[in-house]
Amino acid sequence: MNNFSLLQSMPISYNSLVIENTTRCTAECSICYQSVGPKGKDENGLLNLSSKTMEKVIEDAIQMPNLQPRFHLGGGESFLNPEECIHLFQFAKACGYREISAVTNAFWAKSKRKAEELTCRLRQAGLLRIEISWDYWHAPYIIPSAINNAIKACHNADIQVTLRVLSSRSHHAGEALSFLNSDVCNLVSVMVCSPLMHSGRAKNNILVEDVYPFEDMSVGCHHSLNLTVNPSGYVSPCCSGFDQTNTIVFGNVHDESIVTIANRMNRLLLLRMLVFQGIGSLLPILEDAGIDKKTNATSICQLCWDIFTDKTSAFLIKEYFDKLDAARIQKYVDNLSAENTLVVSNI
Amino acid sequence: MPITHNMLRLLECFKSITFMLPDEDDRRIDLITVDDIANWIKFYNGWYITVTGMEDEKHPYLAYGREIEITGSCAFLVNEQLEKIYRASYECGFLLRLNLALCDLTPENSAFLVLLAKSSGIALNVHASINIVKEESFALLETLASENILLSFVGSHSFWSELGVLSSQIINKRLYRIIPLNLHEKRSLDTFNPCANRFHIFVDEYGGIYPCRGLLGIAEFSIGTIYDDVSKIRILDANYPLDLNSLEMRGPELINTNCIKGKGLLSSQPMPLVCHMHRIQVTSP
Repeated sequence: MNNFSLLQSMPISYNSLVIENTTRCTAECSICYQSVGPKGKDENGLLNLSSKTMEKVIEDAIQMPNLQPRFHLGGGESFLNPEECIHLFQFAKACGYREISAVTNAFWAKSKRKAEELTCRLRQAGLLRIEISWDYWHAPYIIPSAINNAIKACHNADIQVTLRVLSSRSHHAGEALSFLNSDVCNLVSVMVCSPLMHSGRAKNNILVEDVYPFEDMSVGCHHSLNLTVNPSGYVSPCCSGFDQTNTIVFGNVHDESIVTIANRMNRLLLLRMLVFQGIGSLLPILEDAGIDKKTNATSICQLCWDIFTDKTSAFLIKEYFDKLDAARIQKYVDNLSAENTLVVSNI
Repeated sequence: MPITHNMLRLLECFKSITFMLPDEDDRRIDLITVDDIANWIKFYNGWYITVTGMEDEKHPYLAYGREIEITGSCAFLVNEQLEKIYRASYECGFLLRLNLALCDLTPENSAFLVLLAKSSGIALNVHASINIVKEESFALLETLASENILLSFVGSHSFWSELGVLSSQIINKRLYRIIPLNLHEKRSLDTFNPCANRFHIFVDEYGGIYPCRGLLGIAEFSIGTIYDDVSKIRILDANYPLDLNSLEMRGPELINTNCIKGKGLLSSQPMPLVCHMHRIQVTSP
């Protein structure tokens, strides 16, 4: 299928369901794309999703044919309430999810014994994989021994560990990994090393020259989407930046089912253009209004975040697509009227 | 035959193929050839898109994330052979993933990989090895990283760190993975281990097809051979000796959950612990 065929008829599909249960985090990393910390999100403070809301989302979403049966718990820091997490994993397992995972900064593993106790319970509850965030910017908040303890405890509890390491030009993956025990690092299933994204708190704290740029802004992201519910209950197509914006809203799980919201998202031309044609395809709309977002863009995710956190640019794009939708509806109404006229004239 | 929701979930597990070739160029005539591989990729893809409805544009999301992996070092494949497999993979919409020991990486084969990757990307698992010229190997890795090649580095992170990979400005510009191939230590397993995360089409060096790494080579659990009519593949066969649907959702019911040690082949897919235990269980008298 070419991009136009994708735009026309491909359903928007998701690799997993992601629930971000809180904006609170034990750390306040200078590069956090969510801008979270002990007092919640920089912009709007402390927000949490209730267990009841999360259960409803988990239960509803598994019915979606275009959602892979994978559940991923994120935050803020997702393990602030371990009992709630254990309950959620049990619930997801009972609902039929095949892969259950979570992301954490491993703050809970300062004590080896506590780490072992918790990971055993998490595994029994159904947690199969854990992503541990570790890099130069986490180091001021998380002691390396906690990461070592978490990796070892997860390995012993048969939980696969993915170590997520971010890099910039001045702080590469090797530097962060050198703080950890080498033998323990060999217990992880995989280390995923990627350039840090210049969004959220990083935008103010990291020089753009220090960030590795991703040159191709023309690619779409439809193959790597995750249906995400943020701590406010708003639904977005990914957890890479759009989930942190609130200028374009598709629906809130407190008001309606995630299935209804996802079906609506699938029909929206704006979202379909974004995921299938790429964020770069929306740049001409802004350029016509004299707004340049391309020059300082470092990745498609960062560009998307930048556009949709800016009220002016988000408004321009929304207005453009609202007009397209209105024109499409008008054309449909005109055609219908013409057919009715034809029918009447033939009577 | 109408496809149910459960059948579709099961078929989704088998959208990618791994050909488990030996590490060396063994010219025994009973081993599958490159032509066999290239042809079967097309046959299987033809069957797969028909039975899933992808051919009629149903369930198009199944096209995401499809891979052909060749295990065993690809260094023994000559360029024409590599290209044949690449073309078959590309035409059918698969990403080709190759494995290569670092000591086998040469300016010639890395140049050829770069050439192949120009049309559409390829993925390369580079395996740590001794007897390398560090500066030359590092330079070749940076060349590969700067082209359309997704790199995974297999082996301990200290090896790659000492080589300079983790501090390279060129390599760190892209997303890459490090896969330490760790020996399984003795520990207990939980009973919830959905095979959905491990099911895959595995083809052994004789052309036998298996649904996972753990059952590879056990004739009773073969789901066919690449020499049979592909429509006879036993993924949806109700008479297959294992309940693949149940395995997909929950994993094997293990009688003994205390594991043993094991290690992987030259592949990004070492034998998972639960597969080790299940294999022992099904082959025990």
